Amino acid sequence: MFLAWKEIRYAKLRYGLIVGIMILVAYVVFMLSGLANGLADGNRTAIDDWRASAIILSEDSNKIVNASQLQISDTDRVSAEEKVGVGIYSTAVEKKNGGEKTNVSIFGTANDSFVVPKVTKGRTYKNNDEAIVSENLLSEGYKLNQSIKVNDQKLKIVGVTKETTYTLAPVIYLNSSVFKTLKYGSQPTGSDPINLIVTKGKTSISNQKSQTKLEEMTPETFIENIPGYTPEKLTLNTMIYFLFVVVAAIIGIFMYVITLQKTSIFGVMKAQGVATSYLVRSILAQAFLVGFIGVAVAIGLSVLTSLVLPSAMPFAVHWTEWGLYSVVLVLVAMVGGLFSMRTVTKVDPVTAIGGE
Amino acid sequence: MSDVLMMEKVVKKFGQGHTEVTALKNIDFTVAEGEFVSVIGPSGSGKSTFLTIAGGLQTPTKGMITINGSDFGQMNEKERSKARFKEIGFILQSSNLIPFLKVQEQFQLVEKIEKEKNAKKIEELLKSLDIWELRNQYPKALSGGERQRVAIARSLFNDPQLILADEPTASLDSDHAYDVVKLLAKEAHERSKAIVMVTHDERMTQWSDKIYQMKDGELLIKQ
Repeated sequence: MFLAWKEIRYAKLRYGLIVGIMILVAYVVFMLSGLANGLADGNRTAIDDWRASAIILSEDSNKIVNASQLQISDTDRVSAEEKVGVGIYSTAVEKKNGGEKTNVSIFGTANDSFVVPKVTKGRTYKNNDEAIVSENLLSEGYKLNQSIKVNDQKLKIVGVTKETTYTLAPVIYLNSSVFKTLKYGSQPTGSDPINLIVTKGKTSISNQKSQTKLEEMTPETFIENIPGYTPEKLTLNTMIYFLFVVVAAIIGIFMYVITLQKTSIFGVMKAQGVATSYLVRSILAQAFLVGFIGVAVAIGLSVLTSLVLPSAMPFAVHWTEWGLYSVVLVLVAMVGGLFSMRTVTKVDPVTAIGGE
Repeated sequence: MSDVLMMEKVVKKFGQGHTEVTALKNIDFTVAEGEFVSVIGPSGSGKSTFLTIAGGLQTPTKGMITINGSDFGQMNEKERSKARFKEIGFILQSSNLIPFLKVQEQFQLVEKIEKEKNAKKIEELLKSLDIWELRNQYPKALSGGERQRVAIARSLFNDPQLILADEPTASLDSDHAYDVVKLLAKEAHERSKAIVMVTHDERMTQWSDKIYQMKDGELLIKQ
């Protein structure tokens, strides 16, 4: 550490540059992670909030909720500690006197079911013209006790829940019967159409011929099949994994070039009897310092950035993930340092003597 | 006076077959403590090879080398590295100082490796060589003469019995070169060190106790 630190102090510009690059790459990693999690959270918070044991769709929907058409009566074929049918509809709301529309996810279900979040302001919905909305809809200019319009159907906001989103849109909860009107209008449908059944506790299904076949899945599987969810996450995470390789390469090349420049100094030190292992440790210590400082500064920058990001850019800090990525980044920087080990080992102390 | 470095019938060959070159031919050589010995010779005469073998950086093809009674030929690279650290001080051509360490940090590095600290020891040594004022300078800020004084201090720091100097005056003008050689002679006599200096400059040998001439791999005593 002594040699490592003294050299960084001496060659401030050189190490400043490499720390700068490390900061930038780590910053991109943390930002991508934050955006990936922001997007993921935006897609799934509403589902996570259910704390469900299982979610049931029709089997022919191929796990895509919009393709799953069930009837409220299908709930009877499911046995579980708690169960409830939910209809999901992605649409837009507008204020009573028109104006700009806002995308929302509408969940239609019984007002006393466990999936309905607690209201933080107002009360929960009861009548067919009432709805509760997620807090983040308020930032779009909507207010408690305000009348809103969905597909020309008038609704009143009677309650506000904590922020919750599904497919990146604020969630509105309302009664199943009004849900049917909103989504299907006067089209003929069965009694009460729903898209999925949510359960708690041990769940079992009875599938009989001539009935729509039901399929049970974990909430995680359900979320992974939300259209766009998995590809988005995979794309951003692949970029992050690729950046780990980039860090190893950048630090590796940098340390290698610096090591090549120092071969004569290493030769002298070896001639004086300084052990090769000491020199290798000092290179690893440098890679560690570069990685550590870079990551620490990048975390700070990312947190600051997250404060000024517009709400249109969903960003979520998952500290355990950032912690894990920090450790990986520092380790990968040290792996880069290892590239130079062979060069240091190969330096012959004889070169220290008689060189012109 | 006991012998510090002993070389007996040392032969060093490089290459094989047609390309074989004999760099050292049957060298017999001893230095005792308190002795300042010069080896002169033109470049290519084998004096660098002689020094690397005396310092345990290479092993001879034939012959025996002992330093303070221990046989270098019997050691592996790691043991020789340790022996170099403890028992031999090197003073190299331009400078054996590490560019990114300040003068006193050059000595602190040795302490870090040895894992014992003695600030007094550094201070005494630097003061005795008149470089205490330079302790917070980087090597690049020093003159050639100052740099070699620091290098001499560095070679003395572990209190080795043997000091090997490879053209220590190569990068200096005559006046400073004389000062450096006189300093080496003084340290050899006052601290009872065995010092071997390799040089191509005959003017530098006037303070030596013994002078050897290296010619085509053979070492002959001159005086």
